[in-house]
Amino acid sequence: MELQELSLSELSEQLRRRAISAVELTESVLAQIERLEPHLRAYITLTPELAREQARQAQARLDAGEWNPLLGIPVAIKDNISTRGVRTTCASRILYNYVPPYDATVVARLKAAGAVLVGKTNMDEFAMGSSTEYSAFHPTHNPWDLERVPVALRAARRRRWQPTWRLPRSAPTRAAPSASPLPTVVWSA
Amino acid sequence: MKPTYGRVSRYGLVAYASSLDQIGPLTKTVADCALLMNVIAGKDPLDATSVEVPVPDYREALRPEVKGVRLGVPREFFAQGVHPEVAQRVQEAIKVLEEAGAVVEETSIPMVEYGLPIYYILAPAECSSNLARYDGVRYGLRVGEEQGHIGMMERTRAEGFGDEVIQRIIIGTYALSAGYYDAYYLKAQKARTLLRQEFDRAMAQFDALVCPTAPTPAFRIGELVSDPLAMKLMDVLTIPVNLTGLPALSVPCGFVEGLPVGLQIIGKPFDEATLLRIGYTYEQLTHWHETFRHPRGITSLLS
Repeated sequence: MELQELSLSELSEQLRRRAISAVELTESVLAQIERLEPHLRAYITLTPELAREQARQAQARLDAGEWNPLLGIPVAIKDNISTRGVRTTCASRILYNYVPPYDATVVARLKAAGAVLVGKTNMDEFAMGSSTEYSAFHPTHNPWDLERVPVALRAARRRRWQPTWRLPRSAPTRAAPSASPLPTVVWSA
Repeated sequence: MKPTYGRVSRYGLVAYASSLDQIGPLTKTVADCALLMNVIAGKDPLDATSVEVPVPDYREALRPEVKGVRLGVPREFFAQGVHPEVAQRVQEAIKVLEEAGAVVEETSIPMVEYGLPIYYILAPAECSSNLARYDGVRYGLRVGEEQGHIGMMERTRAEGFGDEVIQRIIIGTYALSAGYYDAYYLKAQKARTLLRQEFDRAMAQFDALVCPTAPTPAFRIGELVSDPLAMKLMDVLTIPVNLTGLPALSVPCGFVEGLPVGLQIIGKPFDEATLLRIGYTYEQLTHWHETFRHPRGITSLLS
């Protein structure tokens, strides 16, 4: 079975048994993101370098005999949850370049546990909506049917925003979603 | 899972509607959800609305055991507008839990009908206040600096916000304005209290409520829904747990038109553990979650 098909619990057990390394796991997730993101567009920002660094640190902790269920596990964070040093846009033009100076408590807790941040996921602008179609950047596609929205909720036609300036180079717009082993921390309102 | 309001710190979550916002995990299995809740749940001194309620080890909830668990089925959640096959999948799921020993009984929460109108007063009202901070001065985008302070603020907001956000800010500002506050905001707050009281009454007789998560399978991107009732009902099934602050868990319970359908389990305040136990039991009995290893739309892309 491919790594991407495994649940968090199963991957965590494999890391504990040394069947895989945290670095291998993160690389496999990043590779899958590379393959799928052009079709799914689940992310606003990807953080591959940060992920690789955190995976190395997680593996060092594993090597030192430490273990907890999230140590070395890749996660994605919804883009309205603050991540220190990583762009947090709320899928809005108005925050397109905002880089928070601090971590949200949930992010700090996940990092302390040794989780690996692979990117920030797409959403409706300021979470106002249900289908990701109100994202200022792009809609996300359903992994069960690429022509559909990723949730069973309303859909509406709207014009796409054409930027009049260039996004910073650290702003890739490609990657993967619920098909990957990424337990996404999300928000609902 | 949408945890109880106050169960997970909102510190660092960009505010939309502060009395509704809550962070929760989205995972492949119920067991994985328990592992994430173990890390993110609990009182945070940096969020005054997070609550000092002891956090259990959620892994202990992962037992396939629902004998004697009382499940209420609120009939309003199966009303007109819910896709008949979605209702059928969810009824089948409830049957599975009943056969495993759960005690199932129909119940009623008539106020659910008002969930959507309440939400669309309160959420815009709160967002009109929260989003006032985006003025081009402190964060993010700034356009039209040469037009003076007011001109810059206007241009920044006009270019920075999308239509949906602007619409909600305007509605919220209107609902809070002098002369309309009593008619809209105050009334919606009162209705919210009544909704919560109805849920409290229903929850007193049950350990959890079970119903669909969404009334239909996923729509096509760009598709307009011509049935306004169906459109309304879309949000109707999940908005009540935001308005009441109650925790809820959605687990896959089959397919309609090849698309996944969710069983929504609504619980008592801070009793996420019972939701995880019910969800885990259902998973063990049906294995729908196993199908999520291979989402159909991307199978060919992965091979």
